[in-house]
Amino acid sequence: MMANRKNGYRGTGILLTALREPGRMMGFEPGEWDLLLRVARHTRLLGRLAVIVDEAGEMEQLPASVRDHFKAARVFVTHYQRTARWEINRILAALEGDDVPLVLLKGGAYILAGLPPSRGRLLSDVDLLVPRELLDSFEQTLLAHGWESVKLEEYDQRYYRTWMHELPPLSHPERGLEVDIHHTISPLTSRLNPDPEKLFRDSISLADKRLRVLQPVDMVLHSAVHLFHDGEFINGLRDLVDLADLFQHFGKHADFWEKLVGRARSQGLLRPLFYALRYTKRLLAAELPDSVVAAAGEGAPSGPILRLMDNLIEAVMIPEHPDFPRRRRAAAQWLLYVRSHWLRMPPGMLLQHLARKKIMRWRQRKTIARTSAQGSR
Amino acid sequence: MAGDGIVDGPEHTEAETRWVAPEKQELHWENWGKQHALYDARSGETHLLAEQTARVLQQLVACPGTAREVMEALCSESGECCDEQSLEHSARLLRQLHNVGLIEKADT
Amino acid sequence: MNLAELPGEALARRLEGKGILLQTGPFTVRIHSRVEGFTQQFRRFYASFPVVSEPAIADFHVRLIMPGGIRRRWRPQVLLLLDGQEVFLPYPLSHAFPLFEWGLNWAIAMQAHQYLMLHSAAVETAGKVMLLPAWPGSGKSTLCAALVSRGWRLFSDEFGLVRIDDGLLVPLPRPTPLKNKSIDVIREFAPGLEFGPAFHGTRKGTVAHLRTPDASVAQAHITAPPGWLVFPRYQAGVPLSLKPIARPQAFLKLANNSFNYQLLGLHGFQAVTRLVRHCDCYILSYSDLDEAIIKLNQLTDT
Repeated sequence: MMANRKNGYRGTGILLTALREPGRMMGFEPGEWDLLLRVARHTRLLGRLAVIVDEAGEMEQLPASVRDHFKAARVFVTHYQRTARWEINRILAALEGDDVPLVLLKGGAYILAGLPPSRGRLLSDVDLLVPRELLDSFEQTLLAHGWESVKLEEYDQRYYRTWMHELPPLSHPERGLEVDIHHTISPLTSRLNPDPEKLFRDSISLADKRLRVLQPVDMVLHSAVHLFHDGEFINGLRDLVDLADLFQHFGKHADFWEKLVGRARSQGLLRPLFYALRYTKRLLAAELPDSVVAAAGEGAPSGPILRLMDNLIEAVMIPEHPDFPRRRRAAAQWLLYVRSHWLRMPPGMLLQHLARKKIMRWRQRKTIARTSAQGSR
Repeated sequence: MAGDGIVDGPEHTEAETRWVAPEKQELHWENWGKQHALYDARSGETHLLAEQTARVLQQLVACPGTAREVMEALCSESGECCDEQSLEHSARLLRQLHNVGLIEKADT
Repeated sequence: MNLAELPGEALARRLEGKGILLQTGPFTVRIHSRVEGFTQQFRRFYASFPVVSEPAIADFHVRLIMPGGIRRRWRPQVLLLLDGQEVFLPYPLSHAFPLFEWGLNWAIAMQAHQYLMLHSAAVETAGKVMLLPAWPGSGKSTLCAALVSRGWRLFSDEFGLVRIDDGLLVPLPRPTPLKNKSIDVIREFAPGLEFGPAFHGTRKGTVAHLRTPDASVAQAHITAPPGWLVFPRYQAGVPLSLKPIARPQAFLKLANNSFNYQLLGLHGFQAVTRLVRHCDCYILSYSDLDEAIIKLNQLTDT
């Protein structure tokens, strides 16, 4: 297995071990805990481990300091999940009964639908899918109720609106959580072109009838598109854990698998499905029906590309040792970012955009460093 | 932290608006005589409420209603008599509670 | 084993190699450093602190390094890494020790959410803790140092750590940083205290650290219930006054003073209301340190 390479615990296969076989944590030595806690915190999966241990009823058997770390991690999780629920509550209040079909995506959907990926999951924004024709009026409603456009440089504003599948994020100054409003699940210019009408038509309403989530197969496909085609691998492993959870949860129903491949084919999403299956299995030992894996093989890229992806994904998903960061990871992250934009934009624009991005990131880094130094005491 | 002294917006609340409060278990109270601290578990916000405002909210928790119904319930409880002024007062407190997200209009 | 029991050479080797595991209050901190001058100051201030033996789980990982590059030549600097991450801009090399102290405080404030964390000095007398919650500039550290010099046990100069489950205060003794004028005020008030070197030109002006009393370090595992909440307010020339404040006001002040009240949600609300319920709450305005200390001693004697 690529996760259990020789550098094993020296490196950081330890987090994958804990995620795949939570029972093994009970036998961990102090040195292993020390590394696991750090790596899990960096990948935003500490809360997840805390919940797994709690659910297994084994919290009391852990060293006191581990329990404290888990407690603190759960404080974050509870806070962010509450904040997200409240933001959604405020959005509904702002709509004052207007019938806008609001489909929750990603973290917000998992939490409000009570799905397994919500266990211990952090989220930093609320993602909503809104029919394109209602986008403007929905945005106006939120702006009228105090939400503001998150300050972006003008270039980014234009970029979001023209090329991405979302409005520039909004946030309410009293609460600060970002609300991302999408009208489809992949960028307008992307080579992927799923039909958003179908997504709305087949979405499912929650107990609160004003809210909807994607049907299971679409939820999985969206999660896959987001992970493998959005270019942000910062929470890559966490997003892969989401997928593994969804496979396990929905996979109990036989017709899920059948429908999944069919839907991916009809929506032109076989490639991201192929990746989702491949890497949840390789990294997280997800149990997947062979027939499904075989059928999704239709979506596989050519041999050399696949080998490259294997390398890149491994490099960004397997967390690095905090004290021994690898340059390879940063390079892989950059390559995947470039790739996602290659998939998303006409090539002429791509170079221009990447150049701008690099400059702005560099500027941003400088500002962050400055503010954090000033904010310290 | 949100105080209760926030002035309400320009909108006029119709007398027939029915107000609903959150479920009882969402609200956690600490009472210091005529001052109350209230933690709203849905929003994570803490509110400091004066006696009157707290009574209005508690009445709504017990039973949703219009400004008039709330006022009448509170008046019969305290034995005070109700007039147009106290109706206006309770309507204003309800708007304030609405502005800080503690109560909602029914059926929205 | 205490840090002092480790020979100087061995300490330097450990700091450069796998790191020292220092115990401070409830926390274990792994410290690495290859920075000239830091070892000696670290040893001086933390001599009586326990060193945890390997293997152990560290709560924080602090690493001091000297960034390379051309600047190193003409303006040597020191960089602090928390768990491998840069969070502050580099400091001048000679300020490695205050950087370490600030960095560790910052790390605790960002992470230790198993506690309600108050931005407060905490000192104990007769088995109960007096909390002195205040933002910088209100004389909290000065007052704290003065009380400790008169025999109160130092819990912390910076953190009121309140355990969520039982509301008890947890000690986190560390060196007390005094700033600018308060350095001389305390030197005069308590001539016997051991100060470290003065660091000039930090963001907070001149800073000098007071060594943590050995007794406070030795009792760092002994928690205590809160007894008094005193919000200090230093203002030159004002007459001494110790005024009780109403609970709602104390509640507001305390919630706003906390690093993580909002984050803790209901637990934060319950912890703060419990503190306010169980403590006598005051605002202390003072300009003369002697008067203030006498007053606080009277308060706790009755």
